[in-house]
Amino acid sequence: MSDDDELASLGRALGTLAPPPRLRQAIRNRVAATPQAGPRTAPWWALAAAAILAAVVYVALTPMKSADAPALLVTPNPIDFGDVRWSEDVEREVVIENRSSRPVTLRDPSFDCSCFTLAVPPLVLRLEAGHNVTIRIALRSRLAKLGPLEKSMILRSDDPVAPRLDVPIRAHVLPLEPPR
Amino acid sequence: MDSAEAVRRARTGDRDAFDTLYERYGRAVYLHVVGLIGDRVEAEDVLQTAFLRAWTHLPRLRREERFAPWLFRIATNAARDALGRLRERPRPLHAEDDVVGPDPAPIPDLEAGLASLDGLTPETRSLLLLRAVLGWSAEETAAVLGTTASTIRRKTARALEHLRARAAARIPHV
Repeated sequence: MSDDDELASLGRALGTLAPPPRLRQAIRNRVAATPQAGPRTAPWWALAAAAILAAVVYVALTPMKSADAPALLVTPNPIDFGDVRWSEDVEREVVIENRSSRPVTLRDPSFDCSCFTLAVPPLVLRLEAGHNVTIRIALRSRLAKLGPLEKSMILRSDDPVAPRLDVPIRAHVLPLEPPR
Repeated sequence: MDSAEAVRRARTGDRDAFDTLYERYGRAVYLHVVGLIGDRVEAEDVLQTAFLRAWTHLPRLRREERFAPWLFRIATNAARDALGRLRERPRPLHAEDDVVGPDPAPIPDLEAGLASLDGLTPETRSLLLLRAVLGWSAEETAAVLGTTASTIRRKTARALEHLRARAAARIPHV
């Protein structure tokens, strides 16, 4: 006999096993006389802990928008050109973002080395709150000395907190390879 | 009205909806409790206690689809409480002379069937009753008892093997 047959046989023997009908009425009566509990609420200390945690997370995750923070964020910072063979012209993309809650007007970035130029037309730009712009900076290594190069890009704007922002630029200019 | 709807209504105090839930699950919970405590009279008390607790705390049940396992867990806890009381006067699964109060009249097949389950663990008796009497599948049984279908199948097979071995031992050798 299979397990299913055996279960069915046992089921037939126990088929009348059921709670007596009077129980249903008894339970109805007791339910009618019993109020339900309210929905579960967390204990006060759990609510307090949750509120503190939420405040900490909010502060940690909210972008800095205070009046003391510079409006402009430059990425990457520093701007690194890495190894550049002398006479090569190399470009890097730089993103300027306005993190403040007000518009900022940018002026052309300038450099403290003539070896760097802006690879796009001159830039005077009004950058809305939360917006960003991508610029391209070119390194003309013929105008640089061999060896490590540590210069800056100077970014001017009408940001009252940081009207001038100096962003470091790095490169390492290598000598030309001798002809083989 | 499906079970989820009945739970939703009962949660807001609808006693008729709760009665529907009793109609749907009352016998299954009773069988579960009979299996756990092995005493049909005590099982009636436990059944009442379990449903009353379920009614009281129903507003705290967040997911209505979890009603059945939640109810069975309440019944299991109520049965454990009852077992604690019963330990002082242990009784076998089938009715005997040590009966106090209006015990149900013995029915020969039923008594023999219940007696055959003596020797199994309470949990095994419970799942065997649900599967044999209600014809529940391993999956249905597992869902309310909070375990897996494969565990239910394995325990069912082992229990039936045990019952077969006992039945064989009773047959006199010629």
